[in-house]
Amino acid sequence: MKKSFNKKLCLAAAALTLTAGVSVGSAMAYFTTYATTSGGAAISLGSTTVIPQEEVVGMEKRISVKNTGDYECFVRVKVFAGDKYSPGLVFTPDEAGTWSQGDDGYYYCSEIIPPGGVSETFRVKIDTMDSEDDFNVIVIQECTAVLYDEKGNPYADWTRIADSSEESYQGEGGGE
Amino acid sequence: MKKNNFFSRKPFILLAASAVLLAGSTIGSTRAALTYYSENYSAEVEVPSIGVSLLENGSVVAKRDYNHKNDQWNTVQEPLFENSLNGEKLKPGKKYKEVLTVSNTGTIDNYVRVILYKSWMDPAGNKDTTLSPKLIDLNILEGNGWVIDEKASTTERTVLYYTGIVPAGGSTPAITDTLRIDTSVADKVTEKITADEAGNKIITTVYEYDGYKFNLEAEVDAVQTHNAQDAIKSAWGVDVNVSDNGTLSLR
Repeated sequence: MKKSFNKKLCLAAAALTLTAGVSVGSAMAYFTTYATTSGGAAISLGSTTVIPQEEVVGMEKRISVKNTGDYECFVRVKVFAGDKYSPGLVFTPDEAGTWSQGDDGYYYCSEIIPPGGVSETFRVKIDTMDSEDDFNVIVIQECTAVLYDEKGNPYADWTRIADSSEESYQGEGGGE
Repeated sequence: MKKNNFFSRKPFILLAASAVLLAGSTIGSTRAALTYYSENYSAEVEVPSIGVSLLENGSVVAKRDYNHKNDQWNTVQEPLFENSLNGEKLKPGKKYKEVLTVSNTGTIDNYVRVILYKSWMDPAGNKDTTLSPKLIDLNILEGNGWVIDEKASTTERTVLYYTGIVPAGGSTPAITDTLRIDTSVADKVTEKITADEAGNKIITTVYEYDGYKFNLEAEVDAVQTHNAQDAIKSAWGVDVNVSDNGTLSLR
């Protein structure tokens, strides 16, 4: 009985040794290596707020826009004076020529307005159209983020629609 | 009685004979050692060592080479995208140069693969899986020896295999060439409406993803070319075919 037990013990030990040997063989058989790294950068978009700065001199409004946000932006301005007086508004660009009149009724500034910065001043002359009625001339300003093309040149895309929904941006097909 | 004496001497005779034979064999080998010798000489035997490096725009950013002389792994780990901005802010839409290549910095040929991970982290440093990694547009070059393992790739992870052998000291063609953050990240805003003292309405636009950080992680794996099929299966857990000219293909 004792002899039989010893035999089994020897066989078990031999099997264990062989198994261990096989494992060691496969683990050491191949040359492998690896290397890893990571990195990135933060995007700075901040917030943008612009307020118009108007000064009325005679029948002329002198308009500039101040960026009170913390990130650079492009700005544009529209002047409303009602149907009767709008045809009588006459645009005069700034001396540097940074402001221009668009076909859509907006006045566009080609310069990037930095945080805390103020645009050049352009003028809009108001023709009373020989009317003695009171009227308001309202100035509305808008801003948009400075975007960059593939070469890094800045541009404004006024066709972009801000997404203020609660959902996260998943892009095409969604994320995983 | 006489017979008995003979048998009692027999073990001694055998013992003596074996002693003589043993002594004879020792003398023989001693003589051989004495009569056959060579001049002293030295030779440097190069032991094969595996090594691999990842290069970003020509600079090593990750490396792990085995050094037999001191039985150590020589490693390098530098952050990606560290020198790409040149001190300026990251500009959404702009294409930044991001040329990634793999170099065999060992002394044996190897096969390599690269795994790229793209993700976003919020300003607090937490990974944000709700923002799509697709907005991190890393332009991957195919058709130059690199192939994407579509089965193993996701929106966040891209697994690429180089189909050729990378010789010791050699490099692969570029895996990527540019990186661009999609301008859509600037579309997501919240608007706060206030009024100034004159009653003018002021709209403040706050960009939702301001301060978010894109994260790019790269892992490069290398394995020996000898017995490549089994080695790749063992090391990477994937089944590949290796043609006679050494070209690797995924099954």
